[in-house]
Amino acid sequence: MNCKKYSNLLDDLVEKRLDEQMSEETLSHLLCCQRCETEVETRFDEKEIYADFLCDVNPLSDLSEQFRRRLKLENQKQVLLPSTRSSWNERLRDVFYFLSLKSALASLAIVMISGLVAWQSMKATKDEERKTVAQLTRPEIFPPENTNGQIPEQDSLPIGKNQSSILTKSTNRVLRASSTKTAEERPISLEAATALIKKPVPRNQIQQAVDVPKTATEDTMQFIAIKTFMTETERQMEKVEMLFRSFRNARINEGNNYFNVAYESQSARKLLKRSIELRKFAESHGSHDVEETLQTTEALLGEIARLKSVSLREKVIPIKRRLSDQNIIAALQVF
Amino acid sequence: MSNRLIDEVDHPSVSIIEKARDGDEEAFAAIFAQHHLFIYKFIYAMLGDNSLAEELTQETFLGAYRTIGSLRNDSTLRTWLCAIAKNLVFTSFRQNRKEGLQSDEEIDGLHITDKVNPLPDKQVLNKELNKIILSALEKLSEGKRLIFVFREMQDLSYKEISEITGDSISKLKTDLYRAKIEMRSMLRSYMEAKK
Repeated sequence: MNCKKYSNLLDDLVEKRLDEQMSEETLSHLLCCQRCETEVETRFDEKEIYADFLCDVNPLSDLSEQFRRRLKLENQKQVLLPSTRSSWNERLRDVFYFLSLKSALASLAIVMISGLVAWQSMKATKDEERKTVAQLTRPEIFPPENTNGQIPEQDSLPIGKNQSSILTKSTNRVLRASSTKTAEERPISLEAATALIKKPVPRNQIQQAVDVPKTATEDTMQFIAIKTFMTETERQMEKVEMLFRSFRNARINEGNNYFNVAYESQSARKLLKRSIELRKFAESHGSHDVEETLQTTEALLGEIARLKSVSLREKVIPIKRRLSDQNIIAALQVF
Repeated sequence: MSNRLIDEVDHPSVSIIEKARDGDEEAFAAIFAQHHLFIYKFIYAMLGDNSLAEELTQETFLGAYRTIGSLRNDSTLRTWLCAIAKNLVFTSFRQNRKEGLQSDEEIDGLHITDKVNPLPDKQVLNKELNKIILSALEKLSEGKRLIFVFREMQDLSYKEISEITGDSISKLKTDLYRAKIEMRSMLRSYMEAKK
């Protein structure tokens, strides 16, 4: 007996899905297996019962007539309200005919989720920023995490991981330095900070901006001014680094003893002016490390600025050597 | 209804669908005449309520009339109508669940054992059997009931059922196998009595 093999085929036999050969094989098995034969009989009986169940089921009323009436009513409605047939949803369907409902819903969901995520991250960034401002400007109300009365070290500044995207390393340095001063010692407003970015600005104008009366939002402005200053300093450092690299790589003209450093010299003059402005700001806010770095670069910038467009080898080479000896490019890169 | 239209329904053609799409009432009435019994029987088997089945049959065809523009030419008309009817039936299930219309007592009331009347005449027997089958169907889960009715009672192919439900054929086969086992256990007493 191989009932297991044939038991799977019994349904197919009842459904008449077996080919002739398999059908004969299964039937011959049924002849010698009482159990399978009974099983097939039961299945045939069941099938018959289920098929018969709906045979006698008929609607009690004349559905066709009723439906015709409803169909007419439906059409009359459409005549009375012509816009219903071509309603807004049908028009929309025409517009987005290329999208199936599922894909349209999926796209909508993706757009909504991305919007939500963007909004959440914006909100988080704003909160972080606000918190940082509050901690820096009102330490008595929002004390930093390290509240032992001392200024926190660089690594333990009240600036979290998320905040680090807002404030860079160097910003932290200035902020730490500036937090040691009182409000009277940091008399700078938003206009003063803007004045630092725009160049050239007359000195008296910056002074006017610096001397504006203290207002309720002065602390926030102070923070913005420092932030702007640091961004500008970073930009300045980058430019100086690029200039130094360019100067270091300058090649001597073939067949003569001259270097063409016209571009470097001109750029150095511009950067020097800017560097002086930034250094003064750093000085007034006690950011000594920034001040020092700027001072070092200024010395070299001054020398490059003094060079003529076409300079003698003897004048250029010493500056190049100083650049290499002092590792100033590497220092700027780290900054 | 004109004979020509009835011929068109009997012999599958897209022209009658095209006419119905253009709002031809006669064409749609021809479609109704051809398919309404099939749909009615399906709804009746699913819900076990004659008047509700009549109402939902008409709703199915009205829905089809409103949305016949979305019928793709490659899908068969019967499958499409079955899908609409299936959605209406499932909506009705949800409403019933909310309103609690079908209590267990009502279902148990339909469940009549063969021990009450061992030798009924054929008519009574058929009536009894129908009640027992309806009661057994009601005890199946909605998904299993659907595949059981379509496959065992209305002889639709697995492919057609798959198009209607959106389920894979292997899932349908599994569900049908389980439904058959449940139905057999519920009808065992009747089957034994019959023998």
